[in-house]
Amino acid sequence: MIYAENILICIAVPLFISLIFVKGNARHFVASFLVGMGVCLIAAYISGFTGLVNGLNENDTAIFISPVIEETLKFLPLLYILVLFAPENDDLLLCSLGIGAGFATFENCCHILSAGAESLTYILIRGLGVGVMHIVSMLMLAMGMAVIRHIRAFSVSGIIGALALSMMFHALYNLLVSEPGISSYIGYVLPLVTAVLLYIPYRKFPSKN
Amino acid sequence: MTSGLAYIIAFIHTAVLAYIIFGSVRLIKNGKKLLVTVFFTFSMVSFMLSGLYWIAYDLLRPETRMPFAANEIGECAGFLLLAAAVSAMTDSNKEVNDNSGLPQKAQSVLKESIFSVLFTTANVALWIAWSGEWFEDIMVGGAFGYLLCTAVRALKQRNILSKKEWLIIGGACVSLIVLQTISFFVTKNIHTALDIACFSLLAAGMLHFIVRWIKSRKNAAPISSFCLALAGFSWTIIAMYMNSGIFYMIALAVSAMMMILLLLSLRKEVMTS
Repeated sequence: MIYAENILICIAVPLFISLIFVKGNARHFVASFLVGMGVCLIAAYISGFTGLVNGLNENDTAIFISPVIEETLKFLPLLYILVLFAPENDDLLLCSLGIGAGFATFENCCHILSAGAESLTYILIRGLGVGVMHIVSMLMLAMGMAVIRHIRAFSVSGIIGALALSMMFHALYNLLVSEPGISSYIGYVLPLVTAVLLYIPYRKFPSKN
Repeated sequence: MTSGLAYIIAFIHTAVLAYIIFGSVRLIKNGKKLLVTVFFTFSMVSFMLSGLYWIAYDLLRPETRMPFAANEIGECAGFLLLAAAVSAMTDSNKEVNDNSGLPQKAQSVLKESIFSVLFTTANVALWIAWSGEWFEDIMVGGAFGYLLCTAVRALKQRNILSKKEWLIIGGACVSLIVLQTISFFVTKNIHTALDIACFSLLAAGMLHFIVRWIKSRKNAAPISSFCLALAGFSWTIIAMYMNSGIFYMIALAVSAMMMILLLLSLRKEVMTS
């Protein structure tokens, strides 16, 4: 049993204080990072509750329920930013990276506190796997939404389609890492390969709308 | 889906999708019909991720039923994005009146749309009766119904099918629902016979759409070929969801072929635009 809310307060307070002093893009990133951590806590509550209601164990909840809940909750602040502030592509991607990084950081903190941090190898694999996966899925979502906006096809089916794609990616990762052995290795490598593949269009991605 | 043949077909299906994604990314680079090609590519990526998830699940947890089929989210995304691609394609290909220069008034598709909704609803009811998964079946049914309505609208507005063909397809749909409903109340032997009859009807439909696609490829506009391939794809989806075992595998293999037909039609549309 860990006190996730207390951990969140402990990590969030210095970031929140720094938010007062940083300006420009750095402020956007720190704010998104904080939002990402908050979203992670809410997602954990909802996933846990949904799993309990449906009579699922922890593993099944992580495989079947968490990807849907987590991706939906990460998507909502991004949609809010996109619709309300209509940011440039650069800013949108920055916010998506902040949300993804905040989410992954808080999830890793809670996981380490509950499971222990003795094995450096495991911590490295976990950090690279989960850390990269949340960032990649958010980046994919943000780039997809930017493309949809660029081609003026901001349709409901397009947005839901992009969201469902990131859910599928997350679900596939969670499924692969749930079992030990070769599948988990493929699972941990999947986000890294996707990140490398994503870096090519990311470099060429226009910074303006 | 644990037999060796099922794995082979699932792997081939995924490989075909990878080829289609490669082909559609090349079309995106072309820069023409960007909206359609982007949606089409996203749709195919969704189907591929869904397929990969299913293969991974079957290998990791054989004979275990999913409490919530996450791969169906990918299928929903695929249906929605494909429908968005079709809408974008038909919107950009509106026929123009020779005299006024204004877009032609679209034909009414109300009857066909209502029929599609009713047919999808009946299908969803059957899926629920078979699996008992209310939430997933309604979710997938909603996305598939939207795709079906879009396909029917595109076919009707361009007069791609004759009145006789519409009547035959409508009759086939009603027969399928009636036969499948009867199969709940009969003995096992009759049930098998009804399943074979339904699949024969579905196979005839798949064959019809393939033949029509080949004919339209020679004579008609590329968009007509695309709409026919989409109708054939939707028909194979019905066949897949209505069957299990070997019939499901045949329908899965045909659906991969229909996706190739979709890509070929899209390529022709992009090249001629």
